[in-house]
Amino acid sequence: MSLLAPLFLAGIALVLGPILFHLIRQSPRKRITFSSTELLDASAPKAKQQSRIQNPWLLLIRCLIIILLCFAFARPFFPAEDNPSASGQPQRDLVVAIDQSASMAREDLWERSIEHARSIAAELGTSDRLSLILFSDTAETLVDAQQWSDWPAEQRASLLTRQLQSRSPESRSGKLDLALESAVQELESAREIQDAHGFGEIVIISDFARGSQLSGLTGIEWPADSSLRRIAVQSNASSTNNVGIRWLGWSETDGASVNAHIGLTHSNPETGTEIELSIEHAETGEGLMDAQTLYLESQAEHLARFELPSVATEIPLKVSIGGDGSSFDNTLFIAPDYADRISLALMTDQDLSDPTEAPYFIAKALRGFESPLVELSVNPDGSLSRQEALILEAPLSREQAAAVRSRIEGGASALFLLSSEEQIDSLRAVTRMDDWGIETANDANALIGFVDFEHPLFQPFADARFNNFANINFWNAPHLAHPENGAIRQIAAYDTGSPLLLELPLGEGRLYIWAGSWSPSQSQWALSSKFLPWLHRFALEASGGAPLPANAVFTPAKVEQYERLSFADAPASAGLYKISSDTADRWIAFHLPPEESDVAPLSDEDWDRMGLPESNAQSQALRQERFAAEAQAENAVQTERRQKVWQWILFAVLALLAAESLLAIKITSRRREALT
Amino acid sequence: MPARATGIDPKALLAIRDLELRARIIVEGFWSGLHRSPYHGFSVEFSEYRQYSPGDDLRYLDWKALARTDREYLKMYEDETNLRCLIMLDASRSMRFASAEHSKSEYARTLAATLSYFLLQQRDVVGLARFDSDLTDYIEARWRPRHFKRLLALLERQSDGAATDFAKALASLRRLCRKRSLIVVISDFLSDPVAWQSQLAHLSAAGHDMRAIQVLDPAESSLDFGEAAHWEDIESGHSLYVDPDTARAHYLERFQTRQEAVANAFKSLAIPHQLVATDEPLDKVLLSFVKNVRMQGGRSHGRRQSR
Repeated sequence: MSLLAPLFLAGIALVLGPILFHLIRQSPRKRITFSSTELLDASAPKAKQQSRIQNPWLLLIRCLIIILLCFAFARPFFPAEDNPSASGQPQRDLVVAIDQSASMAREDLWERSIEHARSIAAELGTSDRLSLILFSDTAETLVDAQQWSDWPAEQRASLLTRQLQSRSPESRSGKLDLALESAVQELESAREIQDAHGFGEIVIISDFARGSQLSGLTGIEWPADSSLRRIAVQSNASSTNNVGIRWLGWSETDGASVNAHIGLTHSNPETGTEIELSIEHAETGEGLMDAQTLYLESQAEHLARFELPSVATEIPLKVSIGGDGSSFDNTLFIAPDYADRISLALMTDQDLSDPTEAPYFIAKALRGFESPLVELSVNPDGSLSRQEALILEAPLSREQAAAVRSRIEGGASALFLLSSEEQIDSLRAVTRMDDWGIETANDANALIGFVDFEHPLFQPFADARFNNFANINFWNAPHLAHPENGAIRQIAAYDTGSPLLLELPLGEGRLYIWAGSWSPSQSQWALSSKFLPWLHRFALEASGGAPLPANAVFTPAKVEQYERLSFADAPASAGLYKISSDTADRWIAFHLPPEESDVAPLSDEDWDRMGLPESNAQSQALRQERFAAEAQAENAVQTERRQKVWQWILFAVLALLAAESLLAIKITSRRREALT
Repeated sequence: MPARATGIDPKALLAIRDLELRARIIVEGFWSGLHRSPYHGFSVEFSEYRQYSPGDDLRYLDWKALARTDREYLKMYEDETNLRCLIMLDASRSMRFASAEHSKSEYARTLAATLSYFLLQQRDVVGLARFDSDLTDYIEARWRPRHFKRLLALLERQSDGAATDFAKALASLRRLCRKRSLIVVISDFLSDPVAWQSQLAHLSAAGHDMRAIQVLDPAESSLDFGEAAHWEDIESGHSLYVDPDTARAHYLERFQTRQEAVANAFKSLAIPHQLVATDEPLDKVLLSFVKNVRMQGGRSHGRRQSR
């Protein structure tokens, strides 16, 4: 039998009370009547008389009552034999997080990490649980606690190893803060499943390179009854002498060559190192320069410039280094810059060379855009199937309207500059809505009174430095009446309340309706500082959005941005990827995160600053002991609540109280008879 | 001859509820013992007949002689114990003490009944007085056929039993008992004789023939009784813690002194003092009493012819 609150047993000392009471109490003392006490002397009370316990059975019952009450308060229970805590070993919840970042591709770091994970899994008990996370710049749960528990106990370690062997390091950076955060969440999820928790431990297996992200570690809320264990898989000393390369860009020379700027990161600047660098055509392997020997020492960052033929900017390049400690980051692909192109059709009946009319300004602006590059066609014949954008400045024939409508529905963006009543039929024909109306009023001066800066066309102007549209005058601003259609969105309006710019989705494209003329005689819009960036924004949106750089760091966020591009092979790691289209091929080069090249291990001081609950073997043993004791106590509480032995003890106390009362009554009546 | 070797066991006797029967058993046993004993010199017999004369008390008519001879004769008794006797019985609370089956009171009442019966059989006139803190009951000495019943009735009546004031009772008796009598005081005489000795002297000086029969419980003489406890005085109610084992020696010493004082008190007044324990056979007590009476005889009464 065990006791939940053994301190209550100290109350057993209270039995001294009844014992003393029964010793001291002399009532009723025996009385003897005698004929005359005149000749008698009083006698001193005998010690024997005083020490004799009165009514021993009554005393025994009262003592039993006190003792049983103390036992009841001490909450006795019988420990359950099938309780895991009875064995003294607490259940353990482990989360193993293995670094899958690029630096783990060095030597045999990955294989050793797998072996560590296997040995950890092998030493776990049947009731222990394990979750496995692989992390780089994302965290993936490879095995969760439920899956682990479902596996046969004798096969768990081997199944875990098999899962790991199918994986390998990725061309990604390592985020230790993300790994720990994910591990903590996994640990809490595991505890929620079983509505009970064991002693938690998070094991990080990593090379703990300096390049790993640590910034979020201090904000992690550490769960109760858990600790952190670090298992560092380190390469040999020479491999920490690593050099990483990153692309910095092109610069022009005076001649027919260009300069390629490459950054070199030395992870062990205290140790000088010598590397060889070469640049070649990524597809053909043709060398663009002779391999050069570089000496790196005394500082971590080095900048190198290599003069290459100007054609180098137009072809995919491969930069390679050799001679440093690790080769996982010794290759860098450089994709040529790519400018998006769009075909834009301008439907106008004005001469583009007339500076008094809007088309002049439109054409001049469009031709100056470098990205996207705009192929402007004015009033093209035939279908508009090649046009990604349309600017409609003149009335349209029925056929033109239909073609415009068809192109918009095909995905093009169109801007209808509506400034006269003659154009209203064209608008009606394009939109297939009859309720459009325009009132052109002379001398109706208006300013822009409302702009939706959340719309992509005006987003660049959201900053307070650029968001003042109120000083652009519009003379003869027309009043536009539009159909009651929920799809029509007002993006800008005059200060008169009349719409300035409306947006109407049609099919896969959208039609913008600008109420007013861009002619300088009608408005200051084409001459304002807002005109060019706004028109560029229109062209950019028509091209599909902001241009994607040809070279990017391989991160999940970046890869997601490139999803709209039609890769021949989906990007899975850092490297060179080709995108084929009808117009031209383009290349995208994904680079290893440069911080991954800094493979020197974090110092212990760096970890200490994090303030994480790391444990060594001794503290872990102490913590496990404490947890085992708490688990035992918790199980003891639950067992005691289930057994409720105290209730039976109280029943016994009640029975004894009744017996005590009856016995006391009997004794009292006997005394009374004796006295009479 | 030791009392226990002879006589009726008082336990057995006092187990008999009827007081008269007890008295009869003792007296008749006494008579039968007398016939066998060397003490048969004492007898009460009629001495002669006298011719009946009209006006004589027919109570003395010898009916047997009349039946035999058809003549009226009166018996003339040699009235050697023709006494006027008054039995003064202590009915105080102290007499209720009992260490065994029967109390001193029970013993004393049986003794009083026995003496009454015996004396009445001797055609002595017997009276009875009870006392505790004063004289509580008084029956004048008579000799009548139903007089004994009256005495028994008084003896059987439960008394209230107050504390003892023997001196006051004696003073009251002096006023009530004018004729010279044999006054037999049956009491435990536990009080200090200084208190009552003078009254006793007055009574004795008044011509009364005093006899004292002191009835004590054996426990009072030996303190071989009880246990260490609170001993309560049956009359005063005063209690004190007494361990008889430790108090015995001193008690016996003081008891002996008291007894000597009591004996000296009686002796100084020439009053026979008979010490009786409640475990003594009553017939033996009667015999001793009768011997005392015979030995003392003639002082307070004269030989006279009874009619």
